[in-house]
Amino acid sequence: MLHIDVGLQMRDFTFAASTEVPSGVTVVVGPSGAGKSTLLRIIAGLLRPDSGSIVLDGRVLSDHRTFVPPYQRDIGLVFQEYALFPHLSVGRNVAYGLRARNVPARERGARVQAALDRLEVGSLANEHVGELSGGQRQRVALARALVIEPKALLLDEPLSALDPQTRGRVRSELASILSDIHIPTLLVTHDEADRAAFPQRVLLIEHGRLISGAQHG
Amino acid sequence: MIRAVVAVAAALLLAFIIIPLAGLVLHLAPRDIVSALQTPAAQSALCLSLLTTVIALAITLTLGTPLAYILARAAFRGRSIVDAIVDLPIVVPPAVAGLALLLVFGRTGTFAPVLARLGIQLSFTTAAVVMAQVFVSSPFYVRAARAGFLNIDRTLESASATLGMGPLRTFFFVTVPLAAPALLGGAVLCWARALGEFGATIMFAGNLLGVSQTLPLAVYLNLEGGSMPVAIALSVIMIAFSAAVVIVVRLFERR
Amino acid sequence: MKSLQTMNRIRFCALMLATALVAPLPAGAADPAKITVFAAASLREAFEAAAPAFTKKTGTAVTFSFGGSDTLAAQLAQGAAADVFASANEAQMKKITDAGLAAGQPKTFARNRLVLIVPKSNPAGITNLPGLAKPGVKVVLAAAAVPVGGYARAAFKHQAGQPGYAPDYADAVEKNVVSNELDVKAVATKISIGEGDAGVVYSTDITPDIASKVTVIPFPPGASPDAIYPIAVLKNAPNSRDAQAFVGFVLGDGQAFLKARGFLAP
Repeated sequence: MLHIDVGLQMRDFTFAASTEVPSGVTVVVGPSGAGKSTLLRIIAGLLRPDSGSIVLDGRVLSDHRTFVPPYQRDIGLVFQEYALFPHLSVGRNVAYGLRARNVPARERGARVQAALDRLEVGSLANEHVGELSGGQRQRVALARALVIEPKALLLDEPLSALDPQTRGRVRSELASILSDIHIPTLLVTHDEADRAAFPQRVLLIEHGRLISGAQHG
Repeated sequence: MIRAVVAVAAALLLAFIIIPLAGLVLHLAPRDIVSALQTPAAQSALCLSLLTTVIALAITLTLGTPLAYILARAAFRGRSIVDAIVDLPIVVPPAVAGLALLLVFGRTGTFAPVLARLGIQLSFTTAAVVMAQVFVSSPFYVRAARAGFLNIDRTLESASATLGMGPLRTFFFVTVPLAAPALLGGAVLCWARALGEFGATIMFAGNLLGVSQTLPLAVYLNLEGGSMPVAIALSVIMIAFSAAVVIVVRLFERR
Repeated sequence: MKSLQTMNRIRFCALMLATALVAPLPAGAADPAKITVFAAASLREAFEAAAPAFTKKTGTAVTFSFGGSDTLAAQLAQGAAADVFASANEAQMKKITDAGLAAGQPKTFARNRLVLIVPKSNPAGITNLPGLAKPGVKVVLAAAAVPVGGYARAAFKHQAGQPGYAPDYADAVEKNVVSNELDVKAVATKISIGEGDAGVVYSTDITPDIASKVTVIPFPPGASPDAIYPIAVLKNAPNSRDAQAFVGFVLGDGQAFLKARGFLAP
């Protein structure tokens, strides 16, 4: 369970979010500039809130006394443009988080291959990041975030970088992959179509304020 | 018509660079160059230049990389002033730089009492040669490194952090590799400037075989000492070094 | 309104055009005569003091290039354009005459003496020439190819083995040399700011400014022959007529200026 109750004074508005994110996918919908990326950055530890707290599975990540830096939070983040390291191969990209955790080489190799296989891009391990298609990049980014077995997963507009034709197909594939993992997962988007694909839980965000939306099933 | 003009202009500058260098290199027969290089004076200057420039480069990389990083990342008041200060040694004439070093670090300079207490003498030493080289050449590296760091997509560094790499590891695994071409190019310029340093060296470090007589000083002194062959041979060496380094770096960049 | 502006513009352009056409006409007639003199660094004060007198007398302006005589000789050998060369020793002048660059025979116009200088604080406690061989003394000389550097080393060789000097005196002093400067002025400057324990320069380099910062120790008589300064008109002089006049001046009226600066008669 991910508890969020934070406030941050920004240039254009006051950001405020207070909610609890259970295991499974929660979609956060809002227009451009509403503060969706800000929400994810605060949870990941890339931005420090002015007030409030973030608690994940009982561990305090941020409050008035503590601030756990992003590299110690164990939270996976899939960036909007995927942020794959251009100087590393696909395999090395995915292995990056395991290296950070000092996982030995052999185990690293096995886990990387398994993660790539799970996302059906197993053959791309030695490819250059620059040679991949949009859909392939997205899967590699997802594999990279998932292979470290994070306690929570954040996805920043995972489909907006794809062309409209690919988007539909990838959307359903993403839904099926994410249904398999059982950690709090926040998917942020401005596209209403994404809402339908992940009906479990939807939140709205507008002018920096997170509002609980309709809850389905 | 325009194309022809552009081509001619480019060719002129290129020719202006190549012709004097080629003229120098072709002036002596290779056999004469080799025998001139075997004189103790030539070898001493060669070794000294190599030693001092490598040390100067090491110092510049160690101190200049953090400085470049701070200038590229940290926003603080007076940053543009610091930027300007870093650029100063490029604009200041080398003799002026040498005089400044002498007046501050020399025997009767500002720091003389402190240095004397520590038993350190700086002027007329090889250490002074390195100091002069660092002073005049470090801006070339810092500027290039700063530009390199500025050009890096910060999101990649954020991604590295979320994946669990702390700031230092992110720096070495993401920032440096991505900035590598700029860092390398800056290091080459820096080394080349250090190799060619003359005015500040002779002012602060003096001119003594084996201690402070670097390649440029040796070329100059041999020129008027009447040993033209040695002067030319040393010049050819410097051109060869520089060309080799430039070629190696370009090859590296292409990779 | 507009036509007045236009009229003024036309007048202005006409004036510029006329000036441009007229200006180059008196070809050569009003060109001021000038000569370029390459001279040893030690001659700087004396020649710069003498130049106005020469210009007043002949109407010819003088441009100097001062430096180590070896540097200047090398530049002339490589084709630098100058009218007169005044060297601080015969060896560098010989280079010029051997290369066929001199017009006629060089003439000696002055002599100079070597002196030892130490900073006023005298950190190494040097009081005489033998002191230069003490271990650890920092000696600053001009490079061997620079006249004063050559003269100094010849003097040390001459003194080696004399009463009061060890047989290896010259080598011991050479071991103490910490820098070979490019000209005599650099030696004087370094000692005057306290860099180095002792240096060898000409007696003429003791300007009032230097004198206030150093102590002068004369060379013992006979230790060093006087420095000989030859002067010559250059064969490829752009202005050989005025160059000859300058040489004549240096040997004549100019002697007063040299003497005033401490040079000895030729």
